[in-house]
Amino acid sequence: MLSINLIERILIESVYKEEKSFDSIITDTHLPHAVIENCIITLLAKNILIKKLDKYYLNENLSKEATQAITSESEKLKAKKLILSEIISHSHGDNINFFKVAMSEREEKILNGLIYNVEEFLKSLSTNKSTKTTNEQIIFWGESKYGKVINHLYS
Amino acid sequence: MNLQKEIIAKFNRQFPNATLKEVSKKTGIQITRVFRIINGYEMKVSEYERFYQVLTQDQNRDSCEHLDLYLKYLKTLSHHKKKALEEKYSQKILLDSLSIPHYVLNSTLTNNEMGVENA
Repeated sequence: MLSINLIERILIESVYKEEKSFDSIITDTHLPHAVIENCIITLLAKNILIKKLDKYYLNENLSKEATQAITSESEKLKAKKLILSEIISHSHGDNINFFKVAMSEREEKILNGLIYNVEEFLKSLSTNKSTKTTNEQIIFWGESKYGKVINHLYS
Repeated sequence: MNLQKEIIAKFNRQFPNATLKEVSKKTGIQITRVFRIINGYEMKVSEYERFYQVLTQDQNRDSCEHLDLYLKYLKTLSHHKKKALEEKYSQKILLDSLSIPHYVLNSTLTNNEMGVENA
Protein backbone atom coordinates (compact mmCIF):
# COMPACT_ATOMS: atom_id res chain seq x y z
CA MET A 1 0.00 0.00 0.00
CA LEU A 2 1.24 3.47 -0.87
CA SER A 3 1.98 5.69 2.11
CA ILE A 4 2.74 9.38 2.44
CA ASN A 5 5.01 10.64 5.18
CA LEU A 6 4.61 14.00 6.88
CA ILE A 7 7.24 15.79 4.80
CA GLU A 8 5.77 14.48 1.54
CA ARG A 9 2.39 15.71 2.76
CA ILE A 10 3.82 19.19 3.39
CA LEU A 11 5.33 19.27 -0.10
CA ILE A 12 2.04 18.14 -1.66
CA GLU A 13 0.22 20.93 0.22
CA SER A 14 2.80 23.45 -0.92
CA VAL A 15 2.55 22.48 -4.60
CA TYR A 16 -1.23 22.09 -4.39
CA LYS A 17 -1.55 25.79 -3.51
CA GLU A 18 0.43 26.77 -6.54
CA GLU A 19 2.92 25.07 -8.86
CA LYS A 20 6.45 25.83 -7.72
CA SER A 21 10.07 25.63 -8.68
CA PHE A 22 12.51 23.81 -6.40
CA ASP A 23 13.75 27.10 -4.93
CA SER A 24 10.20 28.33 -4.33
CA ILE A 25 9.45 25.11 -2.45
CA ILE A 26 12.46 25.76 -0.23
CA THR A 27 11.26 29.32 0.44
CA ASP A 28 7.71 28.16 1.04
CA THR A 29 8.45 25.28 3.41
CA HIS A 30 11.82 26.19 4.97
CA LEU A 31 12.76 22.51 4.79
CA PRO A 32 16.39 21.53 4.21
CA HIS A 33 17.49 21.15 0.59
CA ALA A 34 18.34 17.44 0.91
CA VAL A 35 15.01 16.60 2.56
CA ILE A 36 13.04 18.32 -0.22
CA GLU A 37 15.16 16.71 -2.89
CA ASN A 38 14.70 13.20 -1.48
CA CYS A 39 10.95 13.65 -1.02
CA ILE A 40 10.41 15.15 -4.46
CA ILE A 41 12.21 12.22 -6.05
CA THR A 42 9.89 9.87 -4.15
CA LEU A 43 6.78 11.88 -5.05
CA LEU A 44 7.76 11.93 -8.72
CA ALA A 45 8.32 8.17 -8.58
CA LYS A 46 4.89 7.72 -6.95
CA ASN A 47 3.48 9.84 -9.77
CA ILE A 48 1.93 12.26 -7.28
CA LEU A 49 3.99 15.22 -8.49
CA ILE A 50 4.91 15.91 -12.06
CA LYS A 51 7.62 18.19 -13.36
CA LYS A 52 7.11 20.50 -16.31
CA LEU A 53 10.08 22.65 -17.29
CA ASP A 54 11.42 23.83 -13.92
CA LYS A 55 8.17 23.64 -11.98
CA TYR A 56 6.53 20.93 -9.94
CA TYR A 57 2.77 20.33 -10.21
CA LEU A 58 0.35 18.10 -8.38
CA ASN A 59 -0.71 15.36 -10.77
CA GLU A 60 -4.35 15.99 -11.66
CA ASN A 61 -4.84 12.36 -12.62
CA LEU A 62 -3.77 10.73 -9.39
CA SER A 63 -4.05 6.96 -9.21
CA LYS A 64 -6.66 5.50 -6.88
CA GLU A 65 -3.88 4.25 -4.60
CA ALA A 66 -2.25 7.69 -4.39
CA THR A 67 -5.57 9.41 -3.66
CA GLN A 68 -6.25 6.87 -0.92
CA ALA A 69 -2.83 7.45 0.61
CA ILE A 70 -3.32 11.22 0.63
CA THR A 71 -6.86 11.17 2.00
CA SER A 72 -6.48 8.17 4.34
CA GLU A 73 -7.67 9.11 7.83
CA SER A 74 -5.18 6.74 9.48
CA GLU A 75 -2.29 8.36 7.58
CA LYS A 76 -3.57 11.82 8.53
CA LEU A 77 -3.81 10.71 12.16
CA LYS A 78 -0.18 9.52 12.06
CA ALA A 79 0.88 12.94 10.75
CA LYS A 80 -1.22 14.75 13.37
CA LYS A 81 0.23 12.66 16.20
CA LEU A 82 3.75 13.37 15.01
CA ILE A 83 3.06 17.12 14.81
CA LEU A 84 1.47 17.12 18.26
CA SER A 85 4.32 15.19 19.85
CA GLU A 86 6.80 17.66 18.35
CA ILE A 87 4.81 20.66 19.62
CA ILE A 88 4.52 19.15 23.10
CA SER A 89 8.15 18.06 23.34
CA HIS A 90 9.37 21.54 22.28
CA SER A 91 6.86 23.41 24.38
CA HIS A 92 7.92 25.64 27.23
CA GLY A 93 4.34 25.82 28.45
CA ASP A 94 3.53 29.05 26.62
CA ASN A 95 1.71 27.43 23.70
CA ILE A 96 -0.24 24.74 25.54
CA ASN A 97 -3.29 25.46 27.67
CA PHE A 98 -4.32 22.78 30.08
CA PHE A 99 -7.44 22.78 32.24
CA LYS A 100 -8.82 20.13 34.57
CA VAL A 101 -12.41 21.01 35.38
CA ALA A 102 -15.65 19.51 36.61
CA MET A 103 -18.52 20.34 34.26
CA SER A 104 -22.23 19.95 34.55
CA GLU A 105 -24.23 18.75 31.56
CA ARG A 106 -25.27 22.33 30.83
CA GLU A 107 -21.70 23.62 31.01
CA GLU A 108 -20.55 20.83 28.70
CA LYS A 109 -23.20 21.88 26.17
CA ILE A 110 -21.98 25.48 26.37
CA LEU A 111 -18.39 24.38 25.83
CA ASN A 112 -19.38 22.21 22.85
CA GLY A 113 -21.23 25.19 21.37
CA LEU A 114 -18.21 27.42 21.76
CA ILE A 115 -15.91 24.78 20.24
CA TYR A 116 -18.34 24.40 17.35
CA ASN A 117 -18.13 28.16 16.72
CA VAL A 118 -14.34 28.09 16.80
CA GLU A 119 -14.30 25.12 14.41
CA GLU A 120 -16.67 26.85 12.00
CA PHE A 121 -14.54 29.99 12.13
CA LEU A 122 -11.35 28.03 11.38
CA LYS A 123 -13.03 26.15 8.53
CA SER A 124 -14.15 29.47 7.06
CA LEU A 125 -10.58 30.69 6.81
CA SER A 126 -9.61 30.05 3.22
CA THR A 127 -6.10 28.91 2.44
CA ASN A 128 -4.33 32.04 1.38
CA LYS A 129 -2.01 31.17 -1.48
CA SER A 130 0.33 34.01 -0.65
CA THR A 131 0.88 32.72 2.91
CA LYS A 132 3.96 30.58 3.10
CA THR A 133 3.26 26.99 4.13
CA THR A 134 5.86 27.36 6.87
CA ASN A 135 3.91 30.29 8.36
CA GLU A 136 0.60 28.46 8.59
CA GLN A 137 -0.53 28.13 12.19
CA ILE A 138 -1.32 24.93 13.99
CA ILE A 139 -4.20 25.16 16.44
CA PHE A 140 -5.26 22.14 18.38
CA TRP A 141 -7.45 21.09 21.25
CA GLY A 142 -8.84 17.91 22.69
CA GLU A 143 -10.37 16.51 25.83
CA SER A 144 -10.43 13.36 27.84
CA LYS A 145 -11.48 12.14 31.25
CA TYR A 146 -8.88 12.30 33.99
CA GLY A 147 -9.53 8.72 35.07
CA LYS A 148 -9.28 7.41 31.52
CA VAL A 149 -5.86 9.02 31.02
CA ILE A 150 -4.55 7.73 34.35
CA ASN A 151 -5.81 4.24 33.56
CA HIS A 152 -4.03 4.31 30.22
CA LEU A 153 -0.77 4.70 32.12
CA TYR A 154 -1.33 1.20 33.47
CA SER A 155 -2.70 -0.51 30.38
CA MET B 1 45.28 20.56 12.65
CA ASN B 2 41.65 20.32 11.53
CA LEU B 3 41.28 17.01 13.35
CA GLN B 4 42.79 18.58 16.46
CA LYS B 5 40.38 21.52 16.31
CA GLU B 6 37.49 19.15 15.74
CA ILE B 7 38.29 16.90 18.70
CA ILE B 8 38.87 19.84 21.04
CA ALA B 9 35.56 21.35 19.94
CA LYS B 10 33.85 17.99 20.61
CA PHE B 11 35.58 17.79 23.98
CA ASN B 12 34.35 21.29 24.86
CA ARG B 13 30.82 20.36 23.87
CA GLN B 14 30.89 17.17 25.93
CA PHE B 15 32.60 18.74 28.96
CA PRO B 16 31.68 22.43 28.67
CA ASN B 17 32.94 23.55 32.06
CA ALA B 18 36.01 21.35 32.45
CA THR B 19 39.01 23.15 33.95
CA LEU B 20 42.55 22.54 32.72
CA LYS B 21 43.13 20.39 35.80
CA GLU B 22 40.08 18.26 35.00
CA VAL B 23 41.05 17.86 31.34
CA SER B 24 44.52 16.83 32.49
CA LYS B 25 43.08 14.29 34.94
CA LYS B 26 40.69 12.84 32.35
CA THR B 27 43.26 12.54 29.58
CA GLY B 28 46.36 11.84 31.67
CA ILE B 29 48.19 14.62 29.81
CA GLN B 30 50.24 17.06 31.88
CA ILE B 31 48.40 20.28 32.73
CA THR B 32 50.97 22.57 31.04
CA ARG B 33 50.75 20.45 27.91
CA VAL B 34 46.93 20.61 27.99
CA PHE B 35 47.20 24.40 28.25
CA ARG B 36 49.44 24.50 25.18
CA ILE B 37 47.28 22.15 23.14
CA ILE B 38 44.14 24.14 23.90
CA ASN B 39 45.98 27.29 22.86
CA GLY B 40 46.91 25.89 19.48
CA TYR B 41 50.08 23.83 19.93
CA GLU B 42 50.06 20.81 17.66
CA MET B 43 48.96 17.53 19.31
CA LYS B 44 50.92 14.29 19.18
CA VAL B 45 49.05 11.28 17.86
CA SER B 46 49.16 9.71 21.35
CA GLU B 47 47.55 12.84 22.81
CA TYR B 48 44.87 12.81 20.14
CA GLU B 49 44.17 9.17 21.02
CA ARG B 50 43.76 10.04 24.70
CA PHE B 51 41.23 12.79 23.93
CA TYR B 52 39.44 10.37 21.60
CA GLN B 53 39.36 7.61 24.26
CA VAL B 54 37.91 9.93 26.91
CA LEU B 55 35.20 11.09 24.51
CA THR B 56 34.30 7.59 23.36
CA GLN B 57 34.20 6.18 26.90
CA ASP B 58 31.91 9.00 28.02
CA GLN B 59 29.62 8.59 25.01
CA ASN B 60 29.46 4.81 25.52
CA ARG B 61 28.56 5.29 29.18
CA ASP B 62 25.77 7.69 28.20
CA SER B 63 24.46 5.22 25.61
CA CYS B 64 24.56 2.34 28.10
CA GLU B 65 22.70 4.36 30.72
CA HIS B 66 20.15 5.40 28.12
CA LEU B 67 19.69 1.84 26.87
CA ASP B 68 19.33 0.54 30.41
CA LEU B 69 16.63 3.11 31.10
CA TYR B 70 14.96 2.34 27.80
CA LEU B 71 14.86 -1.40 28.53
CA LYS B 72 13.25 -0.71 31.90
CA TYR B 73 10.75 1.57 30.14
CA LEU B 74 9.94 -1.13 27.56
CA LYS B 75 9.05 -3.53 30.36
CA THR B 76 6.36 -1.12 31.55
CA LEU B 77 4.64 -1.01 28.16
CA SER B 78 1.75 -3.09 26.91
CA HIS B 79 1.94 -4.78 23.51
CA HIS B 80 -0.31 -2.08 22.07
CA LYS B 81 1.89 0.74 23.38
CA LYS B 82 5.04 -0.98 22.11
CA LYS B 83 3.49 -1.11 18.64
CA ALA B 84 2.64 2.61 18.84
CA LEU B 85 6.18 3.38 19.97
CA GLU B 86 7.64 1.28 17.16
CA GLU B 87 5.54 3.23 14.69
CA LYS B 88 6.73 6.54 16.15
CA TYR B 89 10.40 5.48 16.06
CA SER B 90 10.11 4.17 12.52
CA GLN B 91 8.59 7.47 11.43
CA LYS B 92 11.37 9.45 13.09
CA ILE B 93 14.08 7.24 11.58
CA LEU B 94 12.50 7.59 8.15
CA LEU B 95 12.25 11.39 8.46
CA ASP B 96 15.81 11.58 9.73
CA SER B 97 17.08 9.54 6.77
CA LEU B 98 15.53 12.12 4.43
CA SER B 99 18.13 14.66 5.48
CA ILE B 100 20.89 12.56 3.92
CA PRO B 101 21.64 14.08 0.51
CA HIS B 102 20.34 12.07 -2.43
CA TYR B 103 23.78 11.51 -3.93
CA VAL B 104 25.00 9.97 -0.64
CA LEU B 105 22.01 7.63 -0.57
CA ASN B 106 22.76 6.68 -4.15
CA SER B 107 26.42 6.01 -3.48
CA THR B 108 25.51 3.96 -0.37
CA LEU B 109 23.13 1.94 -2.48
CA THR B 110 25.80 1.34 -5.09
CA ASN B 111 28.29 0.27 -2.42
CA ASN B 112 25.74 -2.11 -0.92
CA GLU B 113 24.95 -3.55 -4.28
CA MET B 114 28.64 -3.99 -4.91
CA GLY B 115 28.98 -5.66 -1.52
CA VAL B 116 26.23 -8.12 -2.38
CA GLU B 117 27.84 -8.84 -5.71
CA ASN B 118 31.24 -9.39 -4.09
CA ALA B 119 29.72 -11.68 -1.49
